[in-house]
Amino acid sequence: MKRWLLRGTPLVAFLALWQWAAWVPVSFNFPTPWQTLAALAELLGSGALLQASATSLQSLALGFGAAIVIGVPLGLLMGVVRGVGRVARVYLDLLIALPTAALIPLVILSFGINIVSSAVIIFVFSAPFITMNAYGGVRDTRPRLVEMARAFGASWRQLFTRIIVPSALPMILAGLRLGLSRAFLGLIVAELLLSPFGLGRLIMNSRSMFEHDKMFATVVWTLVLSGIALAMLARLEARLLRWRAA
Amino acid sequence: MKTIAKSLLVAGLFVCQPLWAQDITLLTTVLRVVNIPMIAGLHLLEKEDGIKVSVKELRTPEAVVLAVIDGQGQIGQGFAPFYPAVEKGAPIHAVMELSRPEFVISARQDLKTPAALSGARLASHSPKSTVQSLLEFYFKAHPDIKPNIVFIPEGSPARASALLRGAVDAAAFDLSSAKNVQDSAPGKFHVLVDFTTQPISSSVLFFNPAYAKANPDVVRKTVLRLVDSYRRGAADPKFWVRERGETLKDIDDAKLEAQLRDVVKIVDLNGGIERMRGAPAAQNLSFQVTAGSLSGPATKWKPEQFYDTAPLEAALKQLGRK
Repeated sequence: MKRWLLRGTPLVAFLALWQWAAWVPVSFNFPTPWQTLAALAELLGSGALLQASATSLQSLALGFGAAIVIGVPLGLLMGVVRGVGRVARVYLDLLIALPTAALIPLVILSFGINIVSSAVIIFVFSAPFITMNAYGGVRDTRPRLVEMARAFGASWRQLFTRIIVPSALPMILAGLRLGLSRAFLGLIVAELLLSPFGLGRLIMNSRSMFEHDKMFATVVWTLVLSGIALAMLARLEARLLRWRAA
Repeated sequence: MKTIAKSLLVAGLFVCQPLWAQDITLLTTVLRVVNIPMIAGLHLLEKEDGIKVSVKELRTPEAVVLAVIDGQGQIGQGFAPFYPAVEKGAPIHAVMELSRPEFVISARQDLKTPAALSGARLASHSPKSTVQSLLEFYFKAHPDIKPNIVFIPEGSPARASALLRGAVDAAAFDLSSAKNVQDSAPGKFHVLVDFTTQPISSSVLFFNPAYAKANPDVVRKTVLRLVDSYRRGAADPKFWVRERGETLKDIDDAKLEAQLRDVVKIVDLNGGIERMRGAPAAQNLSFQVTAGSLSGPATKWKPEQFYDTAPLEAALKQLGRK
């Protein structure tokens, strides 16, 4: 009961604040939470939201998938081979600091206007965080564990698979969660600034038509989608790290 | 003590400033060549009437409408989103037409006819933009043409650049960009569809309702100076080049003058009064319904819901009709 109260209070406060903002209103045609919920039901009923989600999730899967496939091994390599780590870290720091939206014209030039461009933006948003976390995970491996494994005559391969990767796993998984949040951010940036399609197009359409209830509903839906994806990742994390609790 | 007195004086001057100077703000999207006649009119307003207008650019046309309703600017340039805003209850009215459509579809030379656009990659701005409204209007009249529309939510120069680079086969953009494309790659592209002849309003001028109610004289004077600018510039585009101030100063005067000669054909010397009332206004609104900016049927809309012709009529009374 207490837990639910703790979790529910911020949500109720947020909804109350939102209702107040619509009642003032803070802006022309500002929707109430109830109007937003009704618009969400309407968009789900018409199939528009599901269709847009399917389109968006394609580029998300492509971009985030590539970020995992490239980012995690690169991070591990950077951690294991110090020279690679020293060089790549500089570029990754730059990539994290870069205002990614400014890359959009370059991406259009290089990849054209298609789903690949959108996936590239998502990749650029998420990959540096995934890589840096994997790198940090390897660097944080306890030296005493490595020494002990060596003392027991572990091969390099055994050292990597039995000591380094398991030690780095919590950081890698935390990086994936951070990367996924960034990927959703990249998705909306790409769909609003690169070429509107999927959820970004739905947001842009409803914004242009002053259907702010639908615009809010699409944003809420995007939050729900990212919440579900993050919860799934958290479950995977709990499962993979069960050994730690034991 | 002296410092406090000085601070109070400065604060007092700041507070009392509106009493003798009328500084207002016009909100628009990114300024282009087609906006120069309006800018020249605003300079006339400052010179002749002492009303200084600061121009601020926002990224999207709907942001302009929202910001003017919100009072962050007193005047706005209304594009396609002006109409759905009125439909949703925004108490705004257009007081004059700023331009007819300034857009054309340019395509690669090998796309000889509009029919060849079927399956071709055609660049537009965004789903409910003015240029997209025109495209939808056109393709509804020609349902056999089915291009693959690619949205590039940047200004006309970005679409022109995409066409020049070969990222798209055709693009809809403004007259200045069409001219730039012709100059950059002579003989490679040609104008396939010209929207400038359409008898519809592409952009309109509107005021914050509270401000317009409190300052009818400013509204009338603004309209008067803009119509005056349109007439003087149409007679000699050098007037617009001269009166543009710092706007688009990076464009060479001779080049700008050549581009403004094209703009002459999309500005109305009577502020578009004919398209703000009667049957032409109904056609104007019918276009917005066809383009999806207003819900149908078109017959449910009355021009007076969108247009307030009184300031323009007063200005035309003073200037005479052309």
